[in-house]
Amino acid sequence: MMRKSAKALRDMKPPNPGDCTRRSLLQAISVALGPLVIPSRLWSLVPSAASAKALPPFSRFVDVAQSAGLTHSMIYGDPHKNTYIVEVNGAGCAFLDYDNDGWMDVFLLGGRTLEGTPPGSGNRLYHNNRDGTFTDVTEKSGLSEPGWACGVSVGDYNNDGFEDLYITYYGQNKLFRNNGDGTFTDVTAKAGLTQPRRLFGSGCTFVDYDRDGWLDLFVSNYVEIDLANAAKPSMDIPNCNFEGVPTNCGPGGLGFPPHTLYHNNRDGTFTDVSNKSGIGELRGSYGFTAVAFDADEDGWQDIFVACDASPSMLLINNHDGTFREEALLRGVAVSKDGNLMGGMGVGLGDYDLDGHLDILKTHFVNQPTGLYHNNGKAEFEDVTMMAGLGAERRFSSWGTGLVDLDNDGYPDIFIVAGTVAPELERIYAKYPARNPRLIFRNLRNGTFAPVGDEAGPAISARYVSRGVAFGDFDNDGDLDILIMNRSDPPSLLRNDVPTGNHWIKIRLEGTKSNRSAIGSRVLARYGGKVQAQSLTSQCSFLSSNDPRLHFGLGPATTVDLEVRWPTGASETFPKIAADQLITIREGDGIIKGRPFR
Amino acid sequence: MSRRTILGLVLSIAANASLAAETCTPSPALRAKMQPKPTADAYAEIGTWFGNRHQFACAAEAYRSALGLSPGSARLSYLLGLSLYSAGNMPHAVAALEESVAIAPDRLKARLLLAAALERLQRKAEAKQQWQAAWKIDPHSPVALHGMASALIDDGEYLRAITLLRAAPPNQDLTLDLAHAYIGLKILDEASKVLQDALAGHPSSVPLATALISVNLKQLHNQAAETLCAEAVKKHPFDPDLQRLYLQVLVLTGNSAVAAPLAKKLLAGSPEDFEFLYINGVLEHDQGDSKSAREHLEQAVKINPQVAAAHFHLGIVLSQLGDPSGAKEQLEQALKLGTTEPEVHFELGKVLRALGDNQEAAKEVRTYQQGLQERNHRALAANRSAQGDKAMAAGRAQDAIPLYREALDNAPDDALLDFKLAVALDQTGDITAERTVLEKAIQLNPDLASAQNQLGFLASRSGDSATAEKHFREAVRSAPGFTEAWVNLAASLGLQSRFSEAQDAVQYALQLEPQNPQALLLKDTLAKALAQR
Repeated sequence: MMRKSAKALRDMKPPNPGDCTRRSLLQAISVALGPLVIPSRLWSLVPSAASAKALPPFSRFVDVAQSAGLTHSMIYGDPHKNTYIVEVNGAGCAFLDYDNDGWMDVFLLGGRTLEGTPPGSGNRLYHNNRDGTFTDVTEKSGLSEPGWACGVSVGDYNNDGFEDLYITYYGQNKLFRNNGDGTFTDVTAKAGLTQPRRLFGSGCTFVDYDRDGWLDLFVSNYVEIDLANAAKPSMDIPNCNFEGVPTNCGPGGLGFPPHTLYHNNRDGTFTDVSNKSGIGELRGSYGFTAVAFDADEDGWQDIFVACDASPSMLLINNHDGTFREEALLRGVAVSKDGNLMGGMGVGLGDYDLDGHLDILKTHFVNQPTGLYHNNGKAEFEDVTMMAGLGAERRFSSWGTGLVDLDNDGYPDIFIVAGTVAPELERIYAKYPARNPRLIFRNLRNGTFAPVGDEAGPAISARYVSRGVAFGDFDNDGDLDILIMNRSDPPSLLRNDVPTGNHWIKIRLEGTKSNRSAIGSRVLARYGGKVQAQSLTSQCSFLSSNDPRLHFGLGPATTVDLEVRWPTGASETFPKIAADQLITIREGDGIIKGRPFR
Repeated sequence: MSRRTILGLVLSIAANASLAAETCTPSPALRAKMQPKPTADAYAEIGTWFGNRHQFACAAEAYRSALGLSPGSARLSYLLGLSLYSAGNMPHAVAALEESVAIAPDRLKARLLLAAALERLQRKAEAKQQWQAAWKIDPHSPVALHGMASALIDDGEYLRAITLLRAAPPNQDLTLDLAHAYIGLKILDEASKVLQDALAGHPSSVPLATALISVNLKQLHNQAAETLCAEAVKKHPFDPDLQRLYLQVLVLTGNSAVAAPLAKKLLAGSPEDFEFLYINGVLEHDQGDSKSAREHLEQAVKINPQVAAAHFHLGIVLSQLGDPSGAKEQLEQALKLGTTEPEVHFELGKVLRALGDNQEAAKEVRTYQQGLQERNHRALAANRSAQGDKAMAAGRAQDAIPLYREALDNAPDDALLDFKLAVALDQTGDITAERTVLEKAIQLNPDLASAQNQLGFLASRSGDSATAEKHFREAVRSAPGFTEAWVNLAASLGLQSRFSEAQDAVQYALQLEPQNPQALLLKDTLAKALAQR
């Protein structure tokens, strides 16, 4: 009788799957321990980096943002508690050479608060002074535009030789035309890109989907939400709490938005061809980063969209102005066990040097970053576990890249992380708001191992990070890293690469193809290896990389290059000497480019 | 004691078919007390002597003999009942105890024991009456309180249980009862607080720790549950139930670093335990050890072939090990066992493709996609419904209506959602729309008593008593404890001048809630109407 109550408590029948008396827990466990729970929730300690010890030293990274003058804190929502999901996602960043002086400038997207736009809100443009420092030229540029900015896509949409910017917002997205004089003009309305209603723009990419030499535009949207009547954190509303703590709602439980494709009319305007292309009827995914590349190597641009808590999308180009969505069929929509993943950022690269572009996708906390191997026909296999990435699931991960950080000729993995619910860390030590950066070194055998403190304190420094852009801001031949940090100044990680490894950088200029050469695919052959890269307009998390394709070559001192232009032509350039930047103009070969390495 | 008496006692014991085969030989001193003639007191003493030695059958026999000499003794009946209860003979225990309380109704112990015996016989209603009586005798008796509270909780009367227990003296069982009642009302924060306070005073209590862990899990405070579990296991390292619970919680929190070795250890100690085999298999699969996962999952499904999730996981593992035929068999078995997770279809699609059956594979993929869509719809519906509830709670019925409508767009067959919308429409005065929505609700679910009741009310308001009666009858048919519907039924019958039937209905309502004001008023009204005829 004494234990009657305890037993009864344990044996109480659960009215809903959430009840967990001990007996019903067993029953619930049998159901709950489905693939949805086990593979995505189990985590273990990060495995030791013992297997990487056999390799030569790796790069060291130093955060030089402060000394470089990137000191402005990027306001984005409340750093301590978030009421709505719009505060959580932002935002991307970009390396771009807006003034064509051969030095990468920096562009960071900023946000606002729920209450309004305090001083300092909005985007930031920094001009590269070529001496390791930058100057804030935001005001002159006209790019400030405070709001809930999300993603940026860089591309010369009007083929006038200057890189333009498309920025997505919760609200009205913006097209900024580069005037060539350090200023930008908002030409959204003039270009026919005014949206008929408010949407939550997120991923965006310029893409020449019809191979007419002009950059079209794809935009993914995140969720349907109207802040005027959106639900607030609550234990009473599903998807408005996390492990017993009220948090901002979503994305589950929120409506699925449409996604949009615009055709470039070649006269500075665009036409919405979403319905005509088949993209308009797609529903069922919360869209994030959009990456355009030729997934099936048929010479036409496809579009991969990382999606959150819903199947990611792979839009295969039908060559006739339409697309078909085949991510599920091709193994890249969900995890290999059929679990929906919280897809955020995308790294595009050739990790196993087979000449085909693989996909790396960052995910939500308690989920490993996914690596999807491409066999060249856009048939993907989830190789996350095999690649040694399965153990790291501690953080919600965002910006990422499959990039060669140490110039050894093998792409590595870089990831930034940060919470979506800063309230959690007060309750759970397991969910700190600020997270370190993560590097996984390519072990040259299809697997990766985490790199720890040897990469420098800038890697273990903790932030709530989002966008990442990779580029060579100091033109010394290695990839540096720009990071957008929510409610903090950005990080600029200068790469101090170990000596002995060679490299090549390739600037492409289209003539028949779009001038930015976005969508070009380059195969580099060096030291018996082959590596593919594609020039993208957006990658990582809602961000844009240095458009000069960078290949680490290891000990090889020459490289054979094959360029496949987006309009279909191919050119080869054998025995190019390493350790230089070359500029290749479509049809004209290697030209004298901008003078700096 | 004469040899004849002793023999008589032994024979009478042996003759009792319900007694265990014991030798009932009292001590020589007690035997001596039976001289020259046995008395009731002497038998009672023998009974107590046997009772102290746990020879309950012998004790019962001795008390029976005592009662034979002193019939009408409440005490002896109680002692007989106690012995029979201790011997596990509930029916006879109840008889004896009923005798005792009939003779001396204010004896607490007899009442308590009678209640417990009735509980054991699942005669809940009678047990409840006895708990109530015991509590009336001594409102501070922890056992009476515990029994009353348990009975109330079993009947879903959580609020009454809380009222009863709130002022109760600190006691582990009563604390657990109070927590249980709060859980019943879904006031988990209070349940947690009550248990935390009690656990602070009794940090080694396993029942309290277990209960608090359960509450944490209900609150989705999985990390807190894990911490508590770890502490409890540390204090009670050999408690197998705690170990099992800890493993389950570790799996829920995704802590495989601790779960994996614990799972191995528990399996080593119980190699045929389904749950341990299953969890080991799943953990091994997650860590990429498909070979071990296969072994353990195969053993698990052999031991308990009725768990769909085990077949599902085994199917995934076999698929990864390159055995698509085996995988197909397992996945199809999972489906046969009723699993509805769309991921099963995804997995089956992969396997069918590997087996070259692309048509069927495509079908499975479509089913998977449909399943995801349905899940999304359900999530959206739940979200909107909850938002609607909040709006209603804040008195904003106008705001709730579009939210409920959007929820219904995503879950059109949810009768309860229809009812919620109807309530909101009622509050905004849109009776026509309300009626339409209620009709739809009862079409989907004729047993939705609240909707039937409300439709009856609307019909009654428009003067159609016959239709009203029909709906009220449906309401009380599906929910016989729905007092309001009984009162409404009585009223509709009264309006049709069917006073006798109306009186029956209102009487039923008053049986459910003796102080229901509407029922009392209607009863009066009906009585007056009848008197005037």
